[in-house]
Amino acid sequence: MKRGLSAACLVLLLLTGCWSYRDINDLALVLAVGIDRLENQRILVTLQIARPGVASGGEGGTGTQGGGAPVYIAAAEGRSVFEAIRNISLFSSRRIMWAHNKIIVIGLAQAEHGVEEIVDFFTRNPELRFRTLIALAEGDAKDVVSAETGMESQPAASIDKAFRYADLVAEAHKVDVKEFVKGHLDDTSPAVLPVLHLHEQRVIGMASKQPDPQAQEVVIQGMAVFRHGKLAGMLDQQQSRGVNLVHGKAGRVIITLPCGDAVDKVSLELVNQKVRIEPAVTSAAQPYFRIGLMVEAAVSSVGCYLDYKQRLVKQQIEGELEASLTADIEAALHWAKANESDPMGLGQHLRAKRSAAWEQFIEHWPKQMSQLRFDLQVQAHLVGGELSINPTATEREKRHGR
Amino acid sequence: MIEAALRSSLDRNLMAIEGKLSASEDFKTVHLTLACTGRAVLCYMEGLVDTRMMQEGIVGPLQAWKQELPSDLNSFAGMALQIPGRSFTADRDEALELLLRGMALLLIDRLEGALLLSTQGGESRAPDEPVDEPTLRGPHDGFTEPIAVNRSLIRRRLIDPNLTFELLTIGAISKTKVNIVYIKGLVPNELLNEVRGRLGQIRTAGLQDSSMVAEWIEDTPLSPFPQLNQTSRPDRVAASLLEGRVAILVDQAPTALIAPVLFWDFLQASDDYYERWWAASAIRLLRSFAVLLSLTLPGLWVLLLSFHQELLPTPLALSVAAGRERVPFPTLLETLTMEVVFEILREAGVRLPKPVGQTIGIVGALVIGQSAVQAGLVSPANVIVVALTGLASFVTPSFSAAFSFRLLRFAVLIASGTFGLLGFGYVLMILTLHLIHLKSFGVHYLSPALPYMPGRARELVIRPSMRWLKSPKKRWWLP
Repeated sequence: MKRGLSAACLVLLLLTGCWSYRDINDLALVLAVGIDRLENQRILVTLQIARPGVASGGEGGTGTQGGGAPVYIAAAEGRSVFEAIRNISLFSSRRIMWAHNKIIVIGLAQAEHGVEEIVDFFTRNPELRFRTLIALAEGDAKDVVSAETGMESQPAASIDKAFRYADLVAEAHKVDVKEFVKGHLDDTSPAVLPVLHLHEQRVIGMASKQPDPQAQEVVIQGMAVFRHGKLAGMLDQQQSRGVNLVHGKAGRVIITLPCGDAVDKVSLELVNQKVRIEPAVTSAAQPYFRIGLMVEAAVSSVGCYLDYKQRLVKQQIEGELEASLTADIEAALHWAKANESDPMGLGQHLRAKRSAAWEQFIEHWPKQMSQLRFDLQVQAHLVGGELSINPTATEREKRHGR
Repeated sequence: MIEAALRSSLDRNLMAIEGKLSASEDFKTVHLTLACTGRAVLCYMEGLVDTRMMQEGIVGPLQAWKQELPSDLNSFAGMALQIPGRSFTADRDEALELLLRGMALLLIDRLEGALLLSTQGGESRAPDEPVDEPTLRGPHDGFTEPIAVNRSLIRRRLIDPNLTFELLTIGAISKTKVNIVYIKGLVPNELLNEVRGRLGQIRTAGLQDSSMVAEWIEDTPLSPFPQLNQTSRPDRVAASLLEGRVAILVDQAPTALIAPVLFWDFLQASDDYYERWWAASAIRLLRSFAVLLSLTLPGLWVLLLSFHQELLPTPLALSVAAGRERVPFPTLLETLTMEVVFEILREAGVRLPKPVGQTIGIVGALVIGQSAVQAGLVSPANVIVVALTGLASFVTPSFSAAFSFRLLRFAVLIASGTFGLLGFGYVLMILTLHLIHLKSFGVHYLSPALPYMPGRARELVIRPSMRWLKSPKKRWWLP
């Protein structure tokens, strides 16, 4: 009897004040966070917070919140990132919860000032994950975070998922916190971030609605390279593609080449790529890299009569593809030389394969990129053409050629 | 003062018997007059004897008897009566007991002692398929109340002289017949002695069911887990006997006990052996998973929703949070309430008379599910979790084991709801430790997994083909 009574008391005691108990509907699930540096050196944190009643698509049950936006944008200032976030609690009715954060966007001004505090904050907090994406805004992060964009009900999910298919254009690859921090801490390869660009809306609008002239779309465009925690420079589309090719991260990039005359085009999709990088040091103590790239490409669309089963035609296309890829990579390498930066992580190869020689570079690594010497060889092979092996041709074209 | 021994005087003997029973209405006497000698009296208990057999086998021949009376009752019976079973006694108490067990008592004047004739009969149920252990493919008979019928159901499956039914009588007043069933040569002697010893220690007025015996003889009465298997399936008992286990039959109880029992036995149904091994193995895996669910699902759900929201995928987290927007209670309280409601529904389903039982489904599904969600008292996801847990617990083949898991899931639920993953882990750890310690008649409850016995443990995961069990499965549960 006594034991039962004390057990009941214990249960009651525990039920009333559960340790770190918080119900899921008392949490503000942060989906995206933007960090900007204001002119007065204060930090502005913008949060995109899900409103579950709307965000889950209504059917989630009782949908009490009715209409309204699926997300709630909250912003607050502070002298540090943490202070700014704490200031959000002044008006937030729910506890801020970071575990579902999809993307961290750093404003350009903050990136130029330095990202050390951000790296520290987002690795120190146990609620934050290393798998969260991180990106640089071309302007203010708050604009990217508050933009209504994409097909998903939560804009952050749209950006997150857009990165999944970013390798189709290979202008930027996705970078998560872990990779960013690794680059930040590493001597050899710098921290790299994809750049988010606000573009006027590319979609024409929904079937029933008029297009909104104010609406903006977040577009992934180019990469930014950091050095010692500060923004060192940005790569344009061609240079980013070159970097990704050297990284072997170009995935199924699509490359469009002229065929015949300059108006009609043939589009190729890379299906396979292999990169070989052999580092060396020249007698003049310059870093020297022999970069070999072997790609396999498939024909995706042809705008002209092109029988690429004929060896000559095939060789011609392969030649053009090689030239195009070489141009991309050279653009990237020249950017690296000019900016004394190493976005391709060439230093890593040097350290791994020429560790003795690396000793002389270790102190001033990215600087020596200005003396970079390289030998670039690109080999391309055309394989297959999806469902059409023969060119699409009318009977007339078959009789006379085009 | 009436003597305890039966002599040759009919009146005195009758008085000795009637003195004990005359107040009871079901005690009947038939006075007969024999052609040669005069008087005889037949006593029996109403409803326990087969009256037709008594008429044709005893009363008829007695009335037709025209010869001289032999000197003793036993040889008279051999000559005159047409009843296969009989025994002679001069002891009043023994005569009384056999009379109460359904034998007819014959007293003849001038002959010493009493003759007891096997005329047992009366009403009994047909050996139908047990309600709580149905099978799709296997034999469809099940134990019924009279122990003699139950014995025959086992004997028909094991035609072997070594199959032994050892008789014990338990209960100071009820004098219930209990049989220890085993196959001589297969059963370890220590086990048999242990069972005999424990049964011998039962001190009770009466037994209504074998489960009462189980409670008397189990190793750890405080444990939530059953330490004897209860089954109403004769095929299951026969299979256990072949493994060298001991079964206990109790008269007037439609379930047999099997000892020792392992934790894994509760996850195995007879059906497992009547399907091809591929299907049986797949179902066995599925069943283990369902049992695990029935124990942990509500706890996991609450800890995910109130402590570890980061473990949910974002879309799920959002839709669950949306469902909970209007719910006024914390998740733990909500789930606890729903679980209790479910238990009430289930108990009502068992207790309700069958014609009314239909309503339970409607009330349960409509009122509790639909309306509670619409009223915003519970979240829709919670209804799914509670329903799934209930469904999973019905998958457990053994009813008594399912009961343990049903109770323990509340412990898991409360611990998870108060301490999150930590509490969940602790409860499961304590449970595991308890199971490791638990023994059933000296056999480790978790063997052959813990302690691990290579080669034998595989049977926990799959049900191997009969051909791979090269030697008979004899005593595979012993270390």
